[in-house]
Amino acid sequence: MNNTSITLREDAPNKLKHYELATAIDVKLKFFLEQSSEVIITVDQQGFITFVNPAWSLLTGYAFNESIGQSIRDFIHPDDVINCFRLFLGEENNCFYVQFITKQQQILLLGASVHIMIEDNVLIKFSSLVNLTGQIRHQEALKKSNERFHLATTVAIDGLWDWNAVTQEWYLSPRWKEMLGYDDDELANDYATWHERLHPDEAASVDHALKSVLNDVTKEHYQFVHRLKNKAGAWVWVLCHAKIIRDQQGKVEHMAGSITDISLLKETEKQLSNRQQELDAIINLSPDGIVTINHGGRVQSVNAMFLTFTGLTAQDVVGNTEAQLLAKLKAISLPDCPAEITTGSVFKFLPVPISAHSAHQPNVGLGKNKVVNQLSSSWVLKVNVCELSTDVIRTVMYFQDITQEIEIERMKYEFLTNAAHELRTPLSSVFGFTELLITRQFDSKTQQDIFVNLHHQAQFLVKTLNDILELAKIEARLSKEFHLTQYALGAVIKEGIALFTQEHSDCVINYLATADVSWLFIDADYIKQALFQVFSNALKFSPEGSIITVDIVGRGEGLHEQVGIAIKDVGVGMTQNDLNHIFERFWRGSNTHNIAGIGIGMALVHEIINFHRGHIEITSEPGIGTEVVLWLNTDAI
Amino acid sequence: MTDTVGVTKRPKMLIVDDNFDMRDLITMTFSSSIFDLLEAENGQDALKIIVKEQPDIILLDVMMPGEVDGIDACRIIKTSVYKECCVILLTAKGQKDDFQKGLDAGADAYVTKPFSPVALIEIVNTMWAQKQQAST
Repeated sequence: MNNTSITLREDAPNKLKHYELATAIDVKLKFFLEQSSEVIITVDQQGFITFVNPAWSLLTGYAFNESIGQSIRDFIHPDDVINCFRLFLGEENNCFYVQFITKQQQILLLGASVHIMIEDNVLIKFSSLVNLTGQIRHQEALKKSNERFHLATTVAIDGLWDWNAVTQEWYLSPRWKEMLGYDDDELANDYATWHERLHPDEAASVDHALKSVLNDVTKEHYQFVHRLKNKAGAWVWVLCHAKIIRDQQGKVEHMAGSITDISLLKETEKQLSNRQQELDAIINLSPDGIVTINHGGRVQSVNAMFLTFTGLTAQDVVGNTEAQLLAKLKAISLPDCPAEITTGSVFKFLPVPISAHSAHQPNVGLGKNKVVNQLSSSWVLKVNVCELSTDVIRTVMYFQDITQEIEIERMKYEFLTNAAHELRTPLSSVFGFTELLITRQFDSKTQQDIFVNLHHQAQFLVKTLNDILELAKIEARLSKEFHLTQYALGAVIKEGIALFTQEHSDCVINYLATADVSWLFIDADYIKQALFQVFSNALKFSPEGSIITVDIVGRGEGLHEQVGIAIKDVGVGMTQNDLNHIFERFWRGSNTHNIAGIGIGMALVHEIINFHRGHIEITSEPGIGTEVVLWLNTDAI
Repeated sequence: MTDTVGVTKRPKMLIVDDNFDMRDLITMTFSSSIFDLLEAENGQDALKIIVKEQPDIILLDVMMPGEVDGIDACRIIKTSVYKECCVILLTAKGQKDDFQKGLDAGADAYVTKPFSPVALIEIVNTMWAQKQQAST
């Protein structure tokens, strides 16, 4: 620096007048001028530089000879030129800042003090400039940072907080307090303000989490979701996020963070969760089996009904490909299984054993009972496949239980064909005999016989028609719902007997059972109806005046305990062949000649007992009599 | 059937129906005909009578209780030595598949109930005339 300054001085051949004047000053001053880190310049009245010290060159980059004789304004930022001249001209006498422009085109902020000297009638301005750039930069950064922080703490959605671990100073931003419904001055900036407002359910876990984060020197961040009590006493869900600053030893110096109000998020989460539960309930209560397939073509979920239908477990099927699912269905279904699972596919399964349905409710619909119907041939599921365009699920397969529909269809067909057959036989007689009466001459006795026969046939037609209507009525009711309630079996039987003997005063029915201990879940009306049918069969096929006996019998123990209603007659009895056909509608025994009826009775009884998950046992010997036992399970059906 | 000495033996008709009234009607329908009338109330009885009496015409109900129904009886007759005998199936069923089953079993005619006695006589007479013609 010394060399430079000397060189500058020696390299300045022109305009040395002022410098020579300066040299007249004390050597100490010269030394000071050259050594000073302060910039010292002089300008003349027009603002031309008359002197610069080495510090000037060092700071601005302009050499001595590049500066001397130049106008000071060439070195000053345009913004500051006017102010600067006013100062130099002595109009103002103050400390001020001037922005100089360096040779590198950088702005240099210098503090200046102006001193006016008069020498040889020449006005010389002496400026002492101190480089303030670094300092200003620091101050501005601080100012900006403060502004930014102020902005952040007041405008931000999040509440900010700050903890100085060294001084134990706390800061809670106005927004932090506002989030809890307080004004800035209502809450103290301390630990208690925060900690006292923690929800008791979470306080311990928050403390624990905080402690473990603070004690773990590797941790720089802390995050926790908890509740804070607001001014109104309600709970606000917040996400607390913080950054930890440690010293070199890892000791916590500072911790600062934010809290975000996530009440809305939590509320949405709760709503979603409720909705999820609601949907789960609906899906699981659905009468259809439901299987969802994800975009990978694998089973994503199955509902409870599907598992009930198939007897499979969720583990069996979830994650399966469609082909694997089909293979599993194939394994349990009847041989005519469809080749793929598509809309309209029909799967037939053998009925699931009763034990698999131990959780049945006492009040059950037809569909469920059909499932355990020991005599229903198969269980039919119809598939409906829906392709979706959601992100989660690609396909939903519905397995609809159409067993009932198919059974009803079959019953309808059977009913109509049988009814047609039963109506045609008496109609054939009427048709044929009347034609003979028209086309032929008969003696009066034969004529009379024909008329009697015709009347008989007409009577039979009326009865048949009534029976058909009754059956239709019962079937319509059967297809609705059974109402199983706990009844004392004995009382129901007695009512059934009374009901029957009211209509058939000539009939004697002996009720043998003495104790009435059997309380069963039954539909009393249907049981009475079944008894009515069995009684009327017994009466019809027994000699006049014979006695029918009814008793309650039991067998088995515990879960397998069964209670039976035994009805015994001393009628015509039946052969094995008769027994084989007894439950077929319109079928009549081989020795039932000239006994009115069209054979719907036992078919009806069978249906009623079947709905109760019971069964019928019949023992009969031609000429001796018949015993019918209606067996009922004692467990809640 | 005529014997060698020219005395005409009356032809035999077997009526098979489980319903008493139906047998009564058919019997009355053919009471003044050329046929001797036989009755059976089920398939097994009918087969026994056929073996014993060798009827010329059988009126056979299709729906009958027991081991042998009308279709079974017809099939047995038409595959036996008695196959020359005319079988007319009588039934309440009018469905196409039942009709086909009857024809497959070898029945000569198929009449649905309720039937006209006059028309039935017509059918039987025509059939009997054809049979007579064929045998001469």
